Amino acid sequence: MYFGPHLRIESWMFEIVLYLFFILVFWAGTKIIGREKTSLFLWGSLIWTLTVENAMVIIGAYDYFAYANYYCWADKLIPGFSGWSCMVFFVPLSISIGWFIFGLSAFIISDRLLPQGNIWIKAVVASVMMVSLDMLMDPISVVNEWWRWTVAGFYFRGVSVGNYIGWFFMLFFFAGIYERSVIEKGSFAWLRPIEGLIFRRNTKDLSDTDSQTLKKIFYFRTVAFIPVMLFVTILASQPLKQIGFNRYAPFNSVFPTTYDQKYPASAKPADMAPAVIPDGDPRKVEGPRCEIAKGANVPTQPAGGASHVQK
Amino acid sequence: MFKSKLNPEVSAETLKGRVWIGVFLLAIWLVFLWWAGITFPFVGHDANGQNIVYGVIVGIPFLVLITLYMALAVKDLKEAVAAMKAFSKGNRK
Repeated sequence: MYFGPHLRIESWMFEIVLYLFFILVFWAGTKIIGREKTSLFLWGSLIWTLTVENAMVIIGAYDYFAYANYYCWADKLIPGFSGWSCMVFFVPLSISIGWFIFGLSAFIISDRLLPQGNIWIKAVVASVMMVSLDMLMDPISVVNEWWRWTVAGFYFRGVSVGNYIGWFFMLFFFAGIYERSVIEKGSFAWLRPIEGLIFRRNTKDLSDTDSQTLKKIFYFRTVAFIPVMLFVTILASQPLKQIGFNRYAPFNSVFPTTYDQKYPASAKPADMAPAVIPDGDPRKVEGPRCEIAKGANVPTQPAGGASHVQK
Repeated sequence: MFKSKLNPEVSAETLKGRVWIGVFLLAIWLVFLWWAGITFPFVGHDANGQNIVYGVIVGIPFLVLITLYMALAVKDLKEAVAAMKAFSKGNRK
């Protein structure tokens, strides 16, 4: 652990804060919208974020393996510890829990600000609020290596701007789906024919639906909207491509990606060698902190501007 | 008192919950701002002070919305408490 002039905020500190606030926000949520609706928001957001996050890691946008298998405490290596208490495939559970905290709070706040407003306008307000908060959190994560960007793109303060566009649309669509399905008990016209085939009923009005069926329909809509959300996010990110990518990926992806082919490791600064996957397990990929622990010679300013890395 | 589709039956408990959720979100933001002040300078920054200034600037939409929300949530709670007090006084008479 490095205590120099600047303090390293460890991933476990971040996790403790998230889990603590999860308990508090869940409690407040049950007071406001009831236990059942809060639980639905939680499970829906877990499905929503874990699917999207894992997909993003697999396609090589970022990963959570900066600490993987070389976590150090009091100058001793803790083998097998990734720096995160619980991983769901390639994504820490606490990341989804964090999304729930911000998502539910922003959703409830936007509802109070515009109680009779259109659901999509409320969703915009909630999303703006969430992105504003994330714009402070993400640069902290970059310098502390909670996660690392592995995609070439347009970067601002070490964070891919596409990330903020993604965060915006993630809450925008999720808040819309949740309010339309669980609060208004309504439907989406384009999904009705498919839902009719799956649930064997007309899903236009769900006000007389039992809670179990309502849950299933909500979860189905959550999954059905994932491709829509990804498509809109990619579309909205296109102007950034016109501006031009301003940076290669700070780290190589642990998964082979089109970005790696387009911007091969050879095109990156020499000190960023391609990642090696030990035993085929991406969580065991080593990174600069491991090398620091071993006393190896590592660049003080690796590509991507992570200038905080100390020998 | 405002009407919300989220919870048509507004009570002092739900209004307290609304105040608390605003407090929690603001507390998270303050934790992040504190961390920004004590950790390494962000990419492109030379000092922690820049981190704080950056955090406050990008947090303006958040701060404006949360301030508005807290003002409304506290007002709702005060009105509800006053209404309850008036109701219980009326019952006593």
